[in-house]
Amino acid sequence: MMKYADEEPTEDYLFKIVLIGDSAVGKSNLLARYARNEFYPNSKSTIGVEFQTQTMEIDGKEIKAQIWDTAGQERFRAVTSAYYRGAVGALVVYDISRRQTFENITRWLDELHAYSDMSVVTVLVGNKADLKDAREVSTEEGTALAEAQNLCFVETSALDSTNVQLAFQTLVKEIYNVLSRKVFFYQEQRPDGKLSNGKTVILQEKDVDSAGAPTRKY
Amino acid sequence: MSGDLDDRGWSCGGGGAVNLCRVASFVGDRDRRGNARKGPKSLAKGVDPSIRAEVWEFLLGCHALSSTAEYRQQLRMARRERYRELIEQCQMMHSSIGTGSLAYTIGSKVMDVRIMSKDSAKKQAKLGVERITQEAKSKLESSRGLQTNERVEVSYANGDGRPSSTDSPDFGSARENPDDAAMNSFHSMSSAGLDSGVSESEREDSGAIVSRQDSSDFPPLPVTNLFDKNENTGVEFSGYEAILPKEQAMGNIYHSSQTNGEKEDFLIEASMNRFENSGKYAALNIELAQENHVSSSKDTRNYKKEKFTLAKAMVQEQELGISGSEQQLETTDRMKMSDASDPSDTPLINPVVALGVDVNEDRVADWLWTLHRIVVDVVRTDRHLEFYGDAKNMARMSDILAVYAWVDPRTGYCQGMSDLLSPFIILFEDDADAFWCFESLLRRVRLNFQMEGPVGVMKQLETLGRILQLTDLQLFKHLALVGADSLLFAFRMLLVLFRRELSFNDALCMWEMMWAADFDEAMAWALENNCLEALVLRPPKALRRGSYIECDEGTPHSKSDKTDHHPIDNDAKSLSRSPFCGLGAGNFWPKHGRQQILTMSSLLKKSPDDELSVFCVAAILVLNRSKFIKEINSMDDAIKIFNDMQFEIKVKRCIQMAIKLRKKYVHK
Repeated sequence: MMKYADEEPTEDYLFKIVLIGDSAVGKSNLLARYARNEFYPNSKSTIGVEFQTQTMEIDGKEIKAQIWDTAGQERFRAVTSAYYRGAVGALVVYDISRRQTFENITRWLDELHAYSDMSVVTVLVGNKADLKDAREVSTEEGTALAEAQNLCFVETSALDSTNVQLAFQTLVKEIYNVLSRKVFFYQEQRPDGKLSNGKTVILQEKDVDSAGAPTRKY
Repeated sequence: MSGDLDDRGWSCGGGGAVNLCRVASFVGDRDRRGNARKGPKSLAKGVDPSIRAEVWEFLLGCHALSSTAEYRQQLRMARRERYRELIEQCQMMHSSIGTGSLAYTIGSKVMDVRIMSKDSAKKQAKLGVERITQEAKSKLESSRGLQTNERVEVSYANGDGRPSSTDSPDFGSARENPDDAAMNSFHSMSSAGLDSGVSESEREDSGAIVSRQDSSDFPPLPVTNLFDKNENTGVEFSGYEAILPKEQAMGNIYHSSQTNGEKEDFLIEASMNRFENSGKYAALNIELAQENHVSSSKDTRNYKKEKFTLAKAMVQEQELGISGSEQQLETTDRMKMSDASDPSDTPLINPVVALGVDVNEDRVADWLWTLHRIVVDVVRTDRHLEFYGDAKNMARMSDILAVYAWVDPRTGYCQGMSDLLSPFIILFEDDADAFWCFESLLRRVRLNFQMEGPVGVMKQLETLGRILQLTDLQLFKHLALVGADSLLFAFRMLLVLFRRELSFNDALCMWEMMWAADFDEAMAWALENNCLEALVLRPPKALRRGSYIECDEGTPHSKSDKTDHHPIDNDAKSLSRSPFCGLGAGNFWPKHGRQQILTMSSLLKKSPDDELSVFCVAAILVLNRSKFIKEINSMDDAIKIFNDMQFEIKVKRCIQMAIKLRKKYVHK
């Protein structure tokens, strides 16, 4: 893996984020709305993986989010799960008009934790909030699940742009906050040459490099 | 993607009479490896769109080059008949199949798979078993004919201006005819089917997430109430009976009939049966129309009228068809008998065996969940083409995928399959023809779509790596250096055969050039033996004369164990040993050439990852090597470049280079 610091010295951070969830919950359109402010009513199913990058600024620091959009069907996971590795953030998406997609959320979370670092910052996203008449999952249910799983939660609509920016920005900010604490902690621990507790310090040096921790500092 | 604008003009091609010489010259000139020797020059012209449909059937091995027009026609009829049966089987599980409507309502702006109102779904889930039983009974008991007409009219009259949330119990009472068993059956048809995608009762019971460990896919929609295990075993039996196509029973009746009078009776019954069927379709259409068009009641009415007229015409057509060709019926009947065991021969009447497929409740539940997935993808496949602006064409795609998922439960439906199917629907007017062609293509790429994951593509990627090492080591070394030697960026190209990278038109050219270059009747024969069990046909009577004794000896067939499931009737013992999907040994192989070709193919041990598609990807890499070496500095770069198609694929050049690379690769 190339070091991003070598190529793009202007960016302070690069975060790898994955978009996961059942087929046709609107992952690709969420990303299209966020990265290009576009929406494709005729968008096709995602085969394999795709990604977009988007830059934003927090605390005067430039942060590049590299967002991976994955195929929703389970049998492609052998391919897509490879991309979970090194992710520091995830948007786990369901469709508020299809209950099944909500019920599968826990399985997606398991999947995410099986293939990525436990510290991955996760936002639960109920998409297609514009389909009010077809709603099958109430906002309360979404909130309850998010609380139980200790996740952030937001309902979005890629169609009418509701909360799409908010979802991504929340995630990126949260990652930034977590990472700042960790880097601080990590630097504190470094003189000892070892980490006090594998559970509290979750990112390891290797991950920090490849997964987009502060490139500036190394 | 790139050429979406050129694609707009696509319409359904009729496919004129095929010039066999042209086809033969296109595919016939093969070298020892079975590759097209004529090579790029003749390939470069591509197939004239007017004969594309028929050429594809040859290229994909649906028909043997040596087959006669008469044989092909008979085979086509047999396949259409079989497809119709399969559609009926599927329709028993979900009423939308074969009606020209999608199983789920689709929002106009955004994909939105809605289901019916919770109350009705819950009730229906509970009533599911009873209804299916009832239907099976009513089918046998109810008198047909005029009643059908009445039924259609009743539902039509009642259907005016109903709100979309109309649930079925309501609907039933509105008909005010509790004694009409046939009506009940029709009622149950629609409701038992429609509740499929829903998990209301499960949901409200505990809120627990239903998970199934035995399936590698996500939990299916719980529809197991349909065949509740706690009910008595008789219910299960009736359920299966309900799945049996009606004509199955008819076939038996006809088989046992001896006198002409009885025969006539049968014919009348048959036409009645068809009539009833069509009536059912019409009624269903109206129901579906109600759900779809509730916003403006006037429009709804007109729409329904249209549908009704259509259905009527259909009924008449079918009646004519039935009484017109007795010959046809005989053939049909025989074909069916190869699946259905004669009850008198079998001590235990087992409808599962009778169906010729392994039917169980899990499979039905899986299929219903698969149907849900299919619709989700159908509404977003090639929507940029005007052709798919028409919901009927989307429904055709959904039907074919649903039938395929039913006959091939190991594969079911996998994303990417709709991309592969789409061109066939545009090319073939008849769904059955499209289905068979699609199935032939899938035989080659099935490994990419099975539950275990895209195994085929992963193997192909390994091959691609070897090809690059042998043909362009510098490029390969560069990719390895930047960590892109997994070549996963080529995944999509191999999975949907360049459908996403090329315009519709170019993709079709690419396909037929690849198939022509790979054309190899020996491989087609090997694939023939790999026929899905549910698609095994009985060769039409007129065509199998004399041809089968030859083919039995020395013919490899992998499914000898499956023979047990196929009841063998007296005059067909020798015939059912080798699976027949259409090519048919006797007609397919020139008498003296067969052994030779088989020997050759076994010597070559052609592996499936040796297909030209892999070399096409290699060609694309080699043709753009300087750009890739310069711009690919990480796996991410590679993925970006390939996803966004930051380079051009020239189909002819790509094919030429691929053939060149294959020669080089084979010689090394």
